[in-house]
Amino acid sequence: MKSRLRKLGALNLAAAALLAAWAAYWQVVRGPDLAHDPRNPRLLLAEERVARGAVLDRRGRPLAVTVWRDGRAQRVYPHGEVFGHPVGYRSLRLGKTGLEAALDAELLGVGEVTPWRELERRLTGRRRGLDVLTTLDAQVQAWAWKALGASAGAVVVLDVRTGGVLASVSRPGFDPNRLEETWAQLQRAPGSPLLDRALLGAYPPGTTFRLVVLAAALSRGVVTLDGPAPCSSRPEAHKEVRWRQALSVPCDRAFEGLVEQVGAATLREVAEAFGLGTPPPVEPAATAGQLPQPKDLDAARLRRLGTGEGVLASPLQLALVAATLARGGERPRPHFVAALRPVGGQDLERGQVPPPTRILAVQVARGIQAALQEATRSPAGAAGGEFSVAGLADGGPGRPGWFVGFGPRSSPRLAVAVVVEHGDAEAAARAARMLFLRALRVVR
Amino acid sequence: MRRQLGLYGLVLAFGMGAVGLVHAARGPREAPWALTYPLVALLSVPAVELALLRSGFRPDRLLLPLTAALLSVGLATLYRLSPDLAARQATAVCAGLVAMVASAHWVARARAGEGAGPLWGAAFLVLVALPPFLPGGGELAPPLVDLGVVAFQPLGLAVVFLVVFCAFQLARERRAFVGAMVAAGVLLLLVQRDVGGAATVLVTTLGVAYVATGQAKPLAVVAAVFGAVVLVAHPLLPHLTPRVQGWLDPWSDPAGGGYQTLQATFALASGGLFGAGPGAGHPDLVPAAHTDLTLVAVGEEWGFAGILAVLTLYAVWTARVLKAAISASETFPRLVAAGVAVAVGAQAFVVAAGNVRLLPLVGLPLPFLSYGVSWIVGHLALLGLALGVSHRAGGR
Repeated sequence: MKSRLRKLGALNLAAAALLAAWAAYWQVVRGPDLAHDPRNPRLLLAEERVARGAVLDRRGRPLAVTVWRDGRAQRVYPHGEVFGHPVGYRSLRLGKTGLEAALDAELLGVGEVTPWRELERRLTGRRRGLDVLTTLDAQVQAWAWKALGASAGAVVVLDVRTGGVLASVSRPGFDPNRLEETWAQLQRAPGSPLLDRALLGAYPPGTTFRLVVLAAALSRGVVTLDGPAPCSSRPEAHKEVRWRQALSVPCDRAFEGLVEQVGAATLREVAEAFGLGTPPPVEPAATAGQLPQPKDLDAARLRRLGTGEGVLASPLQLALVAATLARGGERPRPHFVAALRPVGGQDLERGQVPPPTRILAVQVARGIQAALQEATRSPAGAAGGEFSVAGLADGGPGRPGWFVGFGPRSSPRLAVAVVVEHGDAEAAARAARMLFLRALRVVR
Repeated sequence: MRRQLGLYGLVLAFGMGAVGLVHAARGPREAPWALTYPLVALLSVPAVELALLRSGFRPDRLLLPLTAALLSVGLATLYRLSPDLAARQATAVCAGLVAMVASAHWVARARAGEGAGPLWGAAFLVLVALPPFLPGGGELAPPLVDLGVVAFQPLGLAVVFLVVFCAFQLARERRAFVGAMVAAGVLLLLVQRDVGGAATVLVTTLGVAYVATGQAKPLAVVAAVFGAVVLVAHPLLPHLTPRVQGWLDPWSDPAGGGYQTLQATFALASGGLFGAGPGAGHPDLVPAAHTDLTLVAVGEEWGFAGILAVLTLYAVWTARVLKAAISASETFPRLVAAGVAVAVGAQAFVVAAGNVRLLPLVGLPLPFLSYGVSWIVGHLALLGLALGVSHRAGGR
């Protein structure tokens, strides 16, 4: 009988060990994953107990803050509709968008845990989220918003040195402070004010795609900047236009021929290197745009690619093209977040921003910079004037007005893409001019 | 005596600390007098042991302190969920301590040959058959009896009579009689759709029978037959299929059959290694956390560390009862202690396994932890039996 009792004793210990192993599986092995599963109702409840962190511009000015009114947390957006788009909204009823959605975990403080915040949480049962220091600049954003006027469209301003997004404007916009009252109206409003055109708008790039075509041709040695551009069917006219002047003149024929010479595969390769056809790796969701596959291109469609037909790109993507050319062929990594800031603590590095990627030889990029300067001088491209901006404007029936460029010319700081729906080159260039006029003073 | 008091000092410092932390975490809404119930119940345990020692009783040194530790985890967890439940549980603990002293004194003197042996079996059967004839019941399995003043599951008390009955009759080798009575009890429970309760009764009996006879194979056949019967009869047990389905694949019906399992899993996962901290979790999101999923509530706020502590307490508790059985000199007390170890140990295992998703949930409470008036009284009475046996064996 005693031996049987001892066997039961051994069984008892084995059972306890088995249970412990099983509990450890769910709590320790699978725990972190399941705890952050969006279907875990604790996440929603956590929000009510967390003082959500603030979204700040690059100088620490608040873009979204939580204030307490009558004991209830309320999210306030001091800049209203100007920052409606990049910052987004956060509503228990309507969900989250923009940076509020993309940085939800950090703002709630579930992303990074420091020993101090953990201790505070243990002692008070309450958590404070992290403040997010963005690369946005409240002033530049406000000017970009004004520059666009009442037109539907978007502006993206990138800091050429870092790849940080200084401004990201989309019009028409919405006021996140009054979201719930105006929701039904916003849903029905013409011009889709809830769509972030800067990141998610996919537009035909028109002649701004010539930048990519010319970069591909120059880097493969197909043409030189001083070679003649066959803009006209009359051979004697060729001598009049060189490639360095061809960007902003009516010259579709020449670029159609250039695409044929470069070839579909090479063109796609260079366009992808510029970041077209893939979503830019910014924190909120951004569109990939569209880049045709070489196998889908017959001869006619390949030629038309020279005029940008068949391609779609977002303002962010074209601003990235401008920034890459401005950096002399290095593509910077676009981003919105500069640092995470615990309350009363040291900024946390949010991983290093990856270094820029060289995609073009310096001479090629310098060549296109020179060509852009020619374009800016020409009547169709004029944007900068005394502000020494290099850029290219485009527009026409059935396509939006564009300005893509950078400034100042000698040591570029800002890369800009402006798109004006139902507008022309002049409207986009005018907006860019207004923006550079002011922004270059604060950023320089 | 002094060592024993030191042990209690440790256990009660922990237990009252836990209840106090939970009280503090519940915030200023909670009236401080709500604390008196669990604190009085916890202090009663060393008081009762002191009284037992004074009267010349020499039970196992560790069993009561271990039980006090388990009770304090349970009371702290219940207090977290609802101070009202904790107050009722505390009252049940005090009643259970009385039952414990009574059963300890009784078993210390009982002889296998004398007394009304079959009456224990009859009492067991009556308790098991009772619920359909009394108000209450309803959808719960095990069935609940609601007498207005108190609502309880008679099975919690029936287990005590079952253990005594089995030990009595098997010590006198009346195997067929035991088999018949237990089979009747199991059938009665199955008719009431209480598969978990039927399994508990069966496993307890098989455990005692194994110790008494040493015949593992025929007993395994009995267990297999039971499993086959449940499998065949499962269309008649409509609550069983979603429960098993919810265990195997909770995502197939996350809002229905899988809901409880998923909420339990999220609670365990959110607890992690050291838990959310007392009062900082959301065990109230888990359905039936106070009865069926108490270990999950422990795991959310005290983490894997808390679950490990509870499992260790159960393992040592069961080992001490088995030790009392081994050191008993006569067959009857030995079988009584074996029955106590199997009844409590097996229930703790099966319910804890349901909590950590090793097995489907059976709907039974965790011994000494979960809310349940009859179970607390019954399990403390079983503890009394073990204490009496250890005293008979020369105790400490």
